[in-house]
Amino acid sequence: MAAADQPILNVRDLRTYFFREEGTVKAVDGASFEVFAGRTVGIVGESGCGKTVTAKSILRIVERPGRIVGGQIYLRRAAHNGQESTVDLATLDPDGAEIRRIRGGDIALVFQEPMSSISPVHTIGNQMVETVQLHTGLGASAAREQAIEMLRLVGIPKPERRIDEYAFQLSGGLRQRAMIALALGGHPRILIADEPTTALDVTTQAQILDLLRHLQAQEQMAIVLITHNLGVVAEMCDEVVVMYLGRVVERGPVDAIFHAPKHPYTRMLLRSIPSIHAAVRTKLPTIAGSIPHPFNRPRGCPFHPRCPDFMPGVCDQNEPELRAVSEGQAVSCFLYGAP
Amino acid sequence: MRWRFRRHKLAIVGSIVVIFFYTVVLFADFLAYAPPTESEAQRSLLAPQGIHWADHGRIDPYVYGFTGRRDPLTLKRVYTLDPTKKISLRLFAHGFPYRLFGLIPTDRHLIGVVGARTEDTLFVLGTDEQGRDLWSRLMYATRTSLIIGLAGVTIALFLGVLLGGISGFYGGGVDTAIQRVIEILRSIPTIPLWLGLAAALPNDWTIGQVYFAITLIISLIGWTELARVVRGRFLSLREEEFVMAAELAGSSQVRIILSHMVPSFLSHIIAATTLALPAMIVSETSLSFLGLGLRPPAVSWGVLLQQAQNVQALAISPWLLIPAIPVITVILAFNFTGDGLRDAADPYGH
Amino acid sequence: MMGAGTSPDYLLEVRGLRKYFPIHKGFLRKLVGQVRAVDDVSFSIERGQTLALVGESGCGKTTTARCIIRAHAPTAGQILFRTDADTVVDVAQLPKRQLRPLRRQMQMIFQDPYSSLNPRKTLLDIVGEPLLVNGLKNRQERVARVADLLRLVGLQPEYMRRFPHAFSGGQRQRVGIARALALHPSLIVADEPVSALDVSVQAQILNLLQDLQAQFKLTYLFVAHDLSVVKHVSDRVAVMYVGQIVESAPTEALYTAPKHPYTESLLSAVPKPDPRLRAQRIVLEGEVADPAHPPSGCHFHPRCPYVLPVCRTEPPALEAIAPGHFVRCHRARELTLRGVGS
Repeated sequence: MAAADQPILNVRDLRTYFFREEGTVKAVDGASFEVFAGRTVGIVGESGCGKTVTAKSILRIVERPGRIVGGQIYLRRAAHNGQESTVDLATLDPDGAEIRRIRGGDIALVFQEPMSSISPVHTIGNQMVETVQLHTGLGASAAREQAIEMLRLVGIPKPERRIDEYAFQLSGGLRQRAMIALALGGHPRILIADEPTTALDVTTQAQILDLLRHLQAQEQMAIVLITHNLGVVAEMCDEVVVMYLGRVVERGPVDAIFHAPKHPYTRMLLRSIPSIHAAVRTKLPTIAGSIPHPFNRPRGCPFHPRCPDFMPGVCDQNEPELRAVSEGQAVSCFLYGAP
Repeated sequence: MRWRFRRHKLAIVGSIVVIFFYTVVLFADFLAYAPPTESEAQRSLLAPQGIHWADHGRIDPYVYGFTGRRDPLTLKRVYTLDPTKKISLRLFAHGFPYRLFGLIPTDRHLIGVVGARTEDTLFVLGTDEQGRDLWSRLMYATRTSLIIGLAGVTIALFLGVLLGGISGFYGGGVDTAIQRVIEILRSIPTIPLWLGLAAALPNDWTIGQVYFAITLIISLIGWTELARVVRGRFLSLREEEFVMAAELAGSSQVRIILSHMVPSFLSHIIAATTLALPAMIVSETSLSFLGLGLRPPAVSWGVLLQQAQNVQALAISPWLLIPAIPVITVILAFNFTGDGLRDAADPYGH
Repeated sequence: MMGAGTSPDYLLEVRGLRKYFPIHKGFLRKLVGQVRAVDDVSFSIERGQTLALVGESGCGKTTTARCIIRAHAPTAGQILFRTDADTVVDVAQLPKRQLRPLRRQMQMIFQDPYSSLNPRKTLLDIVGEPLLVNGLKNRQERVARVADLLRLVGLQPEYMRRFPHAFSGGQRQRVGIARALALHPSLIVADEPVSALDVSVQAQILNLLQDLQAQFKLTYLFVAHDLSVVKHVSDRVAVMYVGQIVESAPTEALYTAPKHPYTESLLSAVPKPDPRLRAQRIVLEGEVADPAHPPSGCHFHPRCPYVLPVCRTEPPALEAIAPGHFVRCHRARELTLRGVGS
């Protein structure tokens, strides 16, 4: 079917700004990428790059004083009569019924800190049954059966017992699994995972990433994986979106990004990460300077003050656009095209 | 922090009112024009004499005098306002002698009657059952009540910071012991406790001793609240890594407490103290209102209000309830100010 | 390693360190059990070298670090430290009064750059406090010294008038390093110094730490959970699991030829930043063990892919299987485990 080549989610030139008393923070300033069924997109960047705000914008849960000021978020939905429709999430009422159907139903979100996103006063079962019922309309006992199955699916041992436990009774890894089960209750087509393993031990992280891969293969679910860990990206993702200070600086297939990075930031970032394959006691190449404060955005290309290939008169005057440089790979840099 | 405080309009208003009231405390003698204990049985329960400010176009304050006559039915003397008698008033007039700030002897008062004839009387807010001028007594009452409040808070502050600090800093058994004591104290119903303690005061104590004892009693309860706030802050600060870093640098424990921890919670303490003051004032007022606190001839708001306890008072001489107004005003003012200080100290409530 | 006295090359030698935390339950706070956070840890660090303590949550690495600087009082064991006067003292037994002068010689760098600096003090106060408390009362001299220290860590001396909130995480961490250096310590315990920092900033701080080590002949005890970071800075690595050291070896040997199954799975679990290396990973079953209720015998046995019946009953001892290479495993000599190449 031609539909398989079409992205389920198509983000075009998304802009989300925060209007604070001290000034306006352009948290996301022109992000564009596509998400396909059964594949994983990694959004990677450091603090202030806007990756979490992007995820929140998609689900319309950006807190005030932030709001979407531009761009489109096209979601393809399967309607009941077999027809497909496309809705622009950016235009929906953030408190309306339609976006609430989409949350959990089409798109689910998994956070970094499971303790703060699972209600401490409800059992896991309470929340899961509620989600299942909301999105499938099943009765209470049928929903409970399904919830137990979901817990089994994510690898929680003795799910019939665990379903009646509270979040604090589970260990970190089990909590994160429960969170994933909770997110899957409505059988979403897209799972957005925001730093899902950052708070976990490395052996537990390996288990969770394995689980996500397994679930993706089984449900043909698309995953948007947000992380700062390039190792996780290399392990899990098919496409990579690199963000810096709210803009997408490079985008492409994972192999191209890691082995043929085009943007100076991507290149330098890859070289500066500690690697388990490095020789013992080697020093790492670094990126000069530090990430500017969001109120002090540099003029022109946001990376130019730290860029070794900075071109005066060009990079500090105009903002580069995201342009394709090869099959599937796009860069936002004047090295690859005049302003 | 000062900037944040200024954004809280109510707090600004509150703090101005508080400052105004404490000015009254300082100048109570000056503002009053009759000694608080001077009474004239014949002048009892007179209604307030309104002050008229202008006379024939000039600023010349005056009041109407009273004419007394005997009521044929009750055979009591009844006084009514007589517009024909005009008694001139003067600002900064001479009156009874006193010491300003307790040091400077003078006899000037804010307003007073020109001349000194006995029939020329001034009762701005009326008189009570014993013929004592309410306004003057109110000035002195304000002084007493607010001083007790301040003294009580100071003692509570000292006890609270000391015991709360020890509790939070050392933890363990000491902490447990102090916390249990606090819980026991807090679980005792306050009014019966006060009743018990106040009734235990010997009858032959002087006013001064009763004054001191009442203050102690009130602060004995108040310190628990402050102690808990201080303990909480100490407990959380103790775990902060910068405290450990200071220890590693070789700082003594005293230095860590004074230099690192105290500045962190100073603003909280100020806010908590400001909020504790109205509680103290209400405590004293309630005790005296019930007749268990200060007793005549001492004057405080509670004592004044005690005399307005019967229905007759309310029906016939409602001006006796006027002392309730400053009580409410001061408490509201302190609460607004304390809120503003607390928000300024800790806008995120952590 | 465990000779009668301490070899003159060693700056720090830890022997049989234990730290148990009591668990109290109920209103009367009865003792119901113990958390064996550190359970018989022994290692030594040569002067000028870096030893990394790695492990996951609950392994006891942070508690070990804190015992060494006596933030906790150890339950048992010795912490032998060679002072500047070339005497050996046991930090574990030292009375409090003698601890203060010793503290000048060992300092700590903390994990969280946000809570390790007092937000109400200027950088001058923060970096200058160790100096002030140890006798440098003259303000001008102190200011000059703080300026030197800030320059050493790559910050401008003018910053000393400002407060921590004006600086980024990386800059704050530099301030923490400057503070640790103020008293010319010989040993620095770094507790996850780069875990809370952005990726690009980690490299800067790691490089700085290495430069300072060369310049001042510092000795580091580097506590971390990230095996990639550890490889860049350490001469030796000790892997901890549930309060015990399960393997300790020179870095190269540990990474290329690990001898303990836990080390093998740790190395395998680290995500590698190269999509072409999505090789078959060893994914362990179960959760990290709970130090309050450790499994019997070898603590790792419930998760070990190579478990034998003896592992469930007999706790293995830490043994040398090669010079400088110690393993706590019954099958250490017979297993060939997979490491990572360079």
